[in-house]
Amino acid sequence: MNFNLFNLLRDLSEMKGEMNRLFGSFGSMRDRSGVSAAVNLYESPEQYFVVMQAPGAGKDRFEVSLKGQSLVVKGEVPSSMPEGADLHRCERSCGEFQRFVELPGLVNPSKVDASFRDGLLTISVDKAEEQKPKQIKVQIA
Amino acid sequence: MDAPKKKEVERAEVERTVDKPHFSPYVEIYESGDGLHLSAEMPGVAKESLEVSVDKGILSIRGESRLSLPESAKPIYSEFEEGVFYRAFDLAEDLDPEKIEAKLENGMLTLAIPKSERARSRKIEIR
Repeated sequence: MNFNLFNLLRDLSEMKGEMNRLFGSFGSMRDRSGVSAAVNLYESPEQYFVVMQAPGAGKDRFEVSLKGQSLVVKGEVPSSMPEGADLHRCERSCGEFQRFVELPGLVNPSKVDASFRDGLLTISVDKAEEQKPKQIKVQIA
Repeated sequence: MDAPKKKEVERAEVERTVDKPHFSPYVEIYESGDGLHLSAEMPGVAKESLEVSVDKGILSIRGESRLSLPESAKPIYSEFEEGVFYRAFDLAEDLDPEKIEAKLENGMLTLAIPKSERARSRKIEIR
């Protein structure tokens, strides 16, 4: 029976992955502008890193906030097309966007950094002390 | 015994050329009085790794995207991959490939491709 339980858990986890792919990430909501603002999440022993693709976004229009373990990123990708121009092809999406990212562990809210370079927004958040790996010295008598 | 050996080398050669995933960047193309404007989304591409070239009327853009993260950072969730943005366009004959201006800003490549002098429309005043 244990074996079946394991299968069930694995199926559920796979289903969650599928859902994330279908509905954006982390059960999050995307706004209606259509700006995809794809997100990757990385982890080091000390920090979490959220990297977001936002090519052409206005650097000054990002708003990053953290509530508990939820990171909210608001931004805007302005259109580069002047009014009245003759559009041949448009595959880009422009407008305001908002993404929610649920960090997988406790964090230190006073240690959040964000930088925007080459169209990538990189946010680093320090893990809470209790989440960081600790080395314990064992005295051997 | 020689045949399988040869096959392996061939496969190795093929794999080397596609060691990184290639993506087609999203573009926006519009025309204004002076020519064609092309914007391509290339997030993570720095100026040093960007190539724009025109060969036999084909305009190609290529750039490798890179993240700047410490080595200890391991991926735990991902919606995009690092790789190469590549796309090629057939330039219309009335455009002047010699005078293309390129700009890369915030992960967006913007090309201004002017019309050739001959193709530029001129208003002729009627007396």
